[in-house]
Amino acid sequence: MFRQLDTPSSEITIFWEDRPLSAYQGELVAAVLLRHGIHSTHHGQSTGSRGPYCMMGVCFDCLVDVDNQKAIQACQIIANDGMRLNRHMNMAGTGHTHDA
Amino acid sequence: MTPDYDVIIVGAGPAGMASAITARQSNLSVLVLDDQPDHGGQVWRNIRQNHQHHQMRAFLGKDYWKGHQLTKDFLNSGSDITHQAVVWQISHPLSLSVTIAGIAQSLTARAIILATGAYERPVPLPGWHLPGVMTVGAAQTLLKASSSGADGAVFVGTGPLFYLTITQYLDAGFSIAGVCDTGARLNSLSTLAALPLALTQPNMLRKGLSWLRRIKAETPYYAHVSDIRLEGKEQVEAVAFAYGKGKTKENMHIPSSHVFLHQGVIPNVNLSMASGLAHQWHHRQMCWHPVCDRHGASSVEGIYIAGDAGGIAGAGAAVASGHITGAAVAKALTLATSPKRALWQHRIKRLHHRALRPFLDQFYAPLPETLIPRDENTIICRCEGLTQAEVTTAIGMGVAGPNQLKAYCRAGMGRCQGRMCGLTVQALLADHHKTPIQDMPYYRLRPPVRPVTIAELAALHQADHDISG
Repeated sequence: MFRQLDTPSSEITIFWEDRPLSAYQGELVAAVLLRHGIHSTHHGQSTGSRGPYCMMGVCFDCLVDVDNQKAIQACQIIANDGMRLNRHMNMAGTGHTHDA
Repeated sequence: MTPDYDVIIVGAGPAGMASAITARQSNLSVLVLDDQPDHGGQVWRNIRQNHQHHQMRAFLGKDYWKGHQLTKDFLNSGSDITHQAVVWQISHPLSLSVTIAGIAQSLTARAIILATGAYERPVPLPGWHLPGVMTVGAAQTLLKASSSGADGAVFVGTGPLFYLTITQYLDAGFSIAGVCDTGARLNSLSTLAALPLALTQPNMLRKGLSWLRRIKAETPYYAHVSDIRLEGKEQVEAVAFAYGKGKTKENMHIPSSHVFLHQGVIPNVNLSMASGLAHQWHHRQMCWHPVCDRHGASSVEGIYIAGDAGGIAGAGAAVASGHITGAAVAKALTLATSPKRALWQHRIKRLHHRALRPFLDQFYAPLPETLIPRDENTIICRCEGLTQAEVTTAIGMGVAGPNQLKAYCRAGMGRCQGRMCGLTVQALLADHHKTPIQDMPYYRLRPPVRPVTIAELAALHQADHDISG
């Protein structure tokens, strides 16, 4: 499990599938999830479980649903207090359609 | 109509920041669009915040802190800077479509500099798609952006970033379950031929050697690693591999829930390809890069390339190249010439940094099994979940090139738009048809180069209509 060496800024709370997770102001959402042992963030019918791979926005495997938005890259967004996250489910036959 | 800016720069990494600083010295109006939350690019990611805690985060190392001065100069340069800005199209004459905070807009400029940097070469090994398997660069990003690391991880790969990140992990105090070195092959004539030029940069060579010595002393280190498999069901549970040479080859199995892969980096060419710039194959680096002159001017008038987006040479060369390109753009737009002395210093610096590169490219060449995967169950196209068997079956049905392959099996048609499978598909096709790799084209890329919602597009057209109406 990823662990943090120091916490430089104030603590906030975000929610993963209704479970509260502590995060700090300015932290990447994918980093928060990994620190709490959540490796798999999205599931596709044709791909199975996937999670953060590149952490820089090129692989699109860390997709999550954020509040009312679907299929957002967790490595590209900053955690906000009270943010509600859910696993992105793509049950279409391909990785491309019907998930936006 | 007057353009919105003299220069728009895409990317706020070493090259983007340096070109902005130099362009601003000629009083050009500059906008920098960057898709990350803060400036610094990948190499100096989160440097503003980390610098405030630099005593606690000394493990990031000397080369990281070197970026602080440039980022300060960049912030003081008078450039407009917008972060989390996703550029998805460049049209002619020079205009650029970008989404900022969910709103798409179109911006015009007299010149555009693409400083889109590099990303890590995809590593299609059996099981590389499993959660828990990440790139070494991703592990380093978590160190820089979140001061986080994972104890008991296994590092698999080769290259400067590979050894640097492991050293940072050691300095930060994380335990390492294994280092599986796939590279360092001093066995070809071309590697030896590149050595004399590399020896002109003894400090850089010495740094690399000291990393390696330390890693060998302080971690379970395995040399000449091949036949790698990442095992697990829902997430990675272990790494299996062979190590050693010839008759002394042995098999090894290390349980771990974190595996970090690295096989070098490649230029980020999706935007330059989709913008119609000419590209060529780089034999030594085994990747595509835009064709440009020594000032960074591309094949399309008004579009320039700076830094690793034009070919891999590292952060030091990227800074020099950014200054050189910034000066070239200033000269083209204002006829002003930069102070000759400064320009020559940047040119010499770039030469120094490039001197080591041919040796590094050969010495840390990607492992053959990651270039042309032979295992049938290895995922090739991550987005569509396509295996090697599915892709090679489609190829065997008579597919001539990557674009036709899309119609047969949807390879390259997912969200990443070929970033994770493009080179592998090109290599598999070239292998099947016995064609030299450089003669097999890449996917034909088209804008938008990032997923865009219909709502964003509709808002953009409405805005255009408002302006013209």
